[in-house]
Amino acid sequence: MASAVSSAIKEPSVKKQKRNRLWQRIYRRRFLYLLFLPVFIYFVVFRYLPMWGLLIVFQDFRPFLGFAGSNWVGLAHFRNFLTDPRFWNVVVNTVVLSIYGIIFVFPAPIILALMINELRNMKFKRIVQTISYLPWFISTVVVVSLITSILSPTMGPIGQLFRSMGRDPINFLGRVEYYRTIFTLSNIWSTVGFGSIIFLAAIAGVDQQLYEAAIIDGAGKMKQLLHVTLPSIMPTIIIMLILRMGSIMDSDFERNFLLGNEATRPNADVIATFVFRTGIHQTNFSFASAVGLFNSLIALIFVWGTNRISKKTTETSLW
Amino acid sequence: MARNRIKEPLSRKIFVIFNITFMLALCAVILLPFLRITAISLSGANAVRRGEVGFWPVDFNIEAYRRIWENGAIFLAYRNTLFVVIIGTIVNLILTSFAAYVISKNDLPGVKFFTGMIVLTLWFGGGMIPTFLVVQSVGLYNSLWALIWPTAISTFHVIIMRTFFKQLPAELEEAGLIDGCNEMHILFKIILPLSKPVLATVALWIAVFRWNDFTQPMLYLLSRNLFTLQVVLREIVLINNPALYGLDGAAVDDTMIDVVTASLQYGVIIFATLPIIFIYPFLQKHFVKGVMLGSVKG
Repeated sequence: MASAVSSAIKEPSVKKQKRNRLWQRIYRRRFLYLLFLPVFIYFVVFRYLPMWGLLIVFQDFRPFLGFAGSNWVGLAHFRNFLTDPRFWNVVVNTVVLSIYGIIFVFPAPIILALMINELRNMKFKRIVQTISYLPWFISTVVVVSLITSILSPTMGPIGQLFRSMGRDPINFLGRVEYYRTIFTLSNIWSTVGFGSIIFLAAIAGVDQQLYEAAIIDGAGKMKQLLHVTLPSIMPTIIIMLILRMGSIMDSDFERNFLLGNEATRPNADVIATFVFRTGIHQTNFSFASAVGLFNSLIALIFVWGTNRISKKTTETSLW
Repeated sequence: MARNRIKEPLSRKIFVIFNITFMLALCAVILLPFLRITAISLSGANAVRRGEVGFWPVDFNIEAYRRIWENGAIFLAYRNTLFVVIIGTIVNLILTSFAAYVISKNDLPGVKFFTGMIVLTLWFGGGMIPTFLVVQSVGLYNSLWALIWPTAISTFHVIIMRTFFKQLPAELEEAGLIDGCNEMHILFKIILPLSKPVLATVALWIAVFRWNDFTQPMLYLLSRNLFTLQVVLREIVLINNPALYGLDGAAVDDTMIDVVTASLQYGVIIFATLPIIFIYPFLQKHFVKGVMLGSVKG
C-alpha cells in the first residue's frame, strides 16, 4: 500500500522525464521529419483521402451537392450491382481472363527461361534476351495499334494471306469469340521475355554441384531438368504464382479498354472498364465506387488466402 | 569441345535445333510487326494501296515523316509528354528517396507509423473513381500536373530504395554526424551519391511508366492542347480519326507527294516509340538489375 502511494507520487516526474527525453530525441531528428513532411502530405491527399472518399458508396453522390450535401442511401448501390446482370458479366470476364492468364501467360516465361538457359552460344543468347525484353517497354496503345495493323482485314498481312488463298479475310478484332485469345496472346507477347528474367536468375542460382551429382548418377538432360532445375526454382515459381492468383480479381484496364470495342464488349468488358464507364462516362460516381470497393475487398481476400494456403502447404509465402 | 559433341545423343541434337528455331521464331514475332509498320510508313502511296508492301518499303520515301514532323499538334503532344516524363521523374525521385530514407531509420520515433502508412497502400487503395474525385477537388483536373502528383510516389519503389539504403554501411552516416552534418546533408551528400544504381533503376522505371501512361491522361485531361502522345496516338490510330490532327492522307493538293493515311498513322506510332527504342540499351541493363532488386524481400 505504502509503496503504491510512493510510486504514485514518483510517477509523474518519471513520466515527465521520459516525455522530455522523447521530445529531445524528436528534436534531434527534426530534419528527418522535415523530409517526411511532403511524403506525408502526398500519402494523405492522394492515397488516404480517396479511401476516405470511398464513403460515397453509401451515398447518392452528386458533385454539385458535394460530399456533405449528398443523400445517404446505405447499401442501395451494393444491392443494385449485385442484382445487375452486367455486373456479373464483367466479373465472369475478369475471372476468365485471369484464369487464361494463370494457364497460358504464367508458364510462358518459365518455359522460355528454361529454353534460353539451354542456349550455348552466348552471343545468340544475349541477342534473344535483348529482343524478347523489348515488348515490355512498348506502351499498350502501341501494342494494340500493332495488333490492329497485323489483323486489319484490309491492310494487314493476315488479310492479304486470306485473300491470296481466295478466302474472305476475317475481322478478328470485331468478333467476340476471338477476343480472349487475342487478349491472352498479346499479353504473352508483352510479358514473356521480361517475365523470364526472374526465372533465369533463379536458374543461375542453382547449385552446380547438384548437376554434377546428377550427371554422375547417369541423369540425362531431361532428368536434370525434372529433378534438379525445377525443384530448385520452385520457391520462385510459387511466389510468382501466389502473386498471380492473388490478383485474379484484377483486370488490365488499359489492355481491355484499348483492345475491346462495341462488338467484343460481351467478352472484353471487365470490372475496371465497367467502373470507368459507369463512373466517369455516366457519372454514377457512387455506384462505380461501390463496384470498385467490392472488387478491392475480394482481391484482398484472394491475396491473403493464396498466401495462407501456400504457407501451409509449401512453407513459401510473401510475408 | 569436339569430343563432347560426338557424345551428344540424337535427341539432344534435335532439341538444340528446335530450341534455336523457336528462339528465331520468337524474335520474328516480336520484330516483324515493327518492321511491317515501318515499311508501310516509308512506302509510296500507290504501292501501299495495291497491297505490295510486305516487310520492306516499296518506292521508299519519307513524306509521311516530313508531315508528322511539321504537324503542330503532334509536336505539342510530344512536348506535353516530355514535360510529364522529365518533371514527373524528378518529383518521383526526390519524394521516393525522402520516404525511403526516413523509413530506413529504425530508431526514429514514429517510424513504425510512417512505414505502416506507406506499406498499407500496397494492399488497399481508394480506386479509380475516388482518386478521380480527389484530383478534381484539389483543382488538378485538366492540368498536366494531374499526371504527376497522384502518382508522385510508388510504394513499391519506396520499399526497393529502403532495402538499398539499409544495406549501406552505418559508419558512413555516423562519420557524417560526428562531422556536424545534419541528416538532410547526409542524405544529399553521402547517401544519394552512393545510391546511383538504385536511383537510375527507379528513374528509368518511372520514366517508362510516364512515357507509356495512357489511363491518367485519358482520365484527367480534357483540352486537346494538353493531350499526351499516347492519347493522341489512340485517336489517330485506334479511333482511326487522323483528320482530327490534320494528318489525313486524302487532304492533299497537287503540289504535294501522295501519302496514304495508313503510312501517316504508322509513322506516328514509330515516331512515338523511337525514344523508348533509343534508350532501350540503358533500360535493359538497369531493368534487369531492378527486377533483381525488387525480388529482395523488404
